[in-house]
Amino acid sequence: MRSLRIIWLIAWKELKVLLRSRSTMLVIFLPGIVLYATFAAIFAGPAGRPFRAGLVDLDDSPGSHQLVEALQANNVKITTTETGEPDGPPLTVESAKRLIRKQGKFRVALIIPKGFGDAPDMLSGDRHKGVELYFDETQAYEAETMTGMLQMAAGRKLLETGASLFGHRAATQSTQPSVGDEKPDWMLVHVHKIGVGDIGHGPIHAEHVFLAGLVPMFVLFSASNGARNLLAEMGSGSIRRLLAAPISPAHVLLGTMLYGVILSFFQCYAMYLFAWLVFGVQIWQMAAGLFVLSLATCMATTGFGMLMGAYCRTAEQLDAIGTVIILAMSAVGGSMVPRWIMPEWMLPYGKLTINGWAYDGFIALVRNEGLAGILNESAVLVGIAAACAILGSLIMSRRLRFEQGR
Amino acid sequence: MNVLTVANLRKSYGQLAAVRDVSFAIDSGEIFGLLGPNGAGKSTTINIISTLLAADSGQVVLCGDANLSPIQQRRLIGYVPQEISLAERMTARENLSLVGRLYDLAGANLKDRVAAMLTAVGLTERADDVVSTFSGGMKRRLNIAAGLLHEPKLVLLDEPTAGVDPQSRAYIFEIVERLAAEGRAVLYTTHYMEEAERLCARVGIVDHGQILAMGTLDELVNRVGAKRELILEMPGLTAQSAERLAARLGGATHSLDDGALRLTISSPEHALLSAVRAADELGLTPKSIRVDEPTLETVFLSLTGRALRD
Repeated sequence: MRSLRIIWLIAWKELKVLLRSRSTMLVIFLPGIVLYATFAAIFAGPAGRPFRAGLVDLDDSPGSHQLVEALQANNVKITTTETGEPDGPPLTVESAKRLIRKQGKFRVALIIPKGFGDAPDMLSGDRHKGVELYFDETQAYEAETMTGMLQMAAGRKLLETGASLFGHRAATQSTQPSVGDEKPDWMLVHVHKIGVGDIGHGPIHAEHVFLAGLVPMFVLFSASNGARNLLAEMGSGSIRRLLAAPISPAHVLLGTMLYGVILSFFQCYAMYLFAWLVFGVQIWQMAAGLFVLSLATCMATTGFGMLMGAYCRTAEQLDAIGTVIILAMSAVGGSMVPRWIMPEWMLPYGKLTINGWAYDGFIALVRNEGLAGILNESAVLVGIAAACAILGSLIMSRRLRFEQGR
Repeated sequence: MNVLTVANLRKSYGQLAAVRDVSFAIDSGEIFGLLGPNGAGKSTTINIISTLLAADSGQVVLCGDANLSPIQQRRLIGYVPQEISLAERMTARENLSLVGRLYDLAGANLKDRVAAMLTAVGLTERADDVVSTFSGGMKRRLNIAAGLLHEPKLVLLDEPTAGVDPQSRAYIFEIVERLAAEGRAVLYTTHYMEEAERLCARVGIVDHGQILAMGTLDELVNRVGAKRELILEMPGLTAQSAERLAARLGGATHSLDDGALRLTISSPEHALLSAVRAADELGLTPKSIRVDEPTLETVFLSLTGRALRD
């Protein structure tokens, strides 16, 4: 009995200490809730989240309209304008290809050629031209999904028109993934699948996608290191040796941030090198762009770390709050789940995060877009770095001056 | 010319007046002590002098030049903070090299200065050991060395012996005395009167942000009229016996407190002999006899009505 009592006493002491530390409670309970909320928002909702597809209907016939209606009945959300708004500029083949790659407004682009309605399915024999399906190589299975949906839509159309299904599988059955440009005899609509973008660096696999997502997340975690050390020194008073020397608070802050950038930069390359050695990710073929993007990312994460530190009183508080913020940013920004899976309403929020911009930049490099392809992303990241660093430094500088006299 | 002149310094934090009209001066080769309890304003005063904190009003003049910029002032000042301001995972030599570079020391000069400081604080043998392996006393010594690398004219030591063992404390005292012998002006803050009595040529008694009294130990003692006392402990001593004993000792001012007779005296040697003889003649047997010299504790008590350690 005594042993149980003592055991409970010790456990109770730990709980009591924990309950008195709000920051520790925060870091224990909040991350799980935040992540759950984010993933639930991404994946929850009615079954069969709408599949977004751009459409360029060059035929504009009753036949093509019927196919489109059937697709919409199968929970495919069709976009016919560049902006997604009804009054936006109409999609063209070129703009559709561009928008798949860059902005993710739709996952695939369906081009219905002129004359489709005259021979809308394979029953029409050689007159059937099929449809063109443009897709992003980073999400190759989207093409397969859309192909299946097209078959289902075509089958539904056939059932509605009462056409004979002799010699074909019913449209209500699951389709098998198609291979290249062949014409399997069970397909109702022939689909010409065309991948968008140059995959000169080899096929884009999950290891590219995860590298793009995880690198910014983990440099964010280490980004607050410099600010954390500074807060710890301010808390212990040992910062005063530095401040009593013939230097300014700006020296201290810039030196701290430089440390953060250097540390983060080496962290990036440690991950890149591992990815190259173990998974064959071809980092050397995008060396220049990777250097620029990594530097911009590290500057942004370090500046953000300084800003977070400026608003925290203690190193422990920074750890707690920083963890929650970084996990939330990483979840929304595409570090944990690719952004193209997220619901539309969530997509713009990814662009409010460092992760989102770094992710897009990395994918652009993998697509062989080179330095020109990451100019936008790098500029935004450097802008974030400057804004966060300036604001964080102003606040920290004032705190350092106050700290001097403590 | 005084190395440091502080005139009418004031600093408040909201309603709290941390430093109130503080003025003093320190000459080269002099150790000036600021003695007071915790919260008296000693560290705030040092922080203002070291330019870490801006005063609300008043003036700090270094080496007779009132127009020095804060950066220029810091080059003349060696600041040894109360906190151990060292990188624990670096060696002693690396810590000193880092600080030296902050003061623009470089090359052979830096190397020589680092070696000299390590020798001066007795850490040469541990020069390449990581600071986290040092004892508290060793860290304190290294902390002092870091403040002296650039050969400052004025050394500010903020309670440099806090939490230190007696051996290291004695070592630190030697270092401080050597600084004065080298011609540096030293401002030493402490709440230990024995440190101030041992080291300081002059002492400023500080309480509630004010210097209550300032001068040499003798001046302070005379100012408050503190006297030497001969104390004879004789349990059961009556007031009558005490009067007779005091009369035998020339009518010395005296008081009786719970069996302890306190007599004000001028010469301890003469008084001791006389007291023993007088007690013997009266058939009294003292349990103990001692002479209490007036101390800064006495001065502080007299000035503030409470003990230094209250």
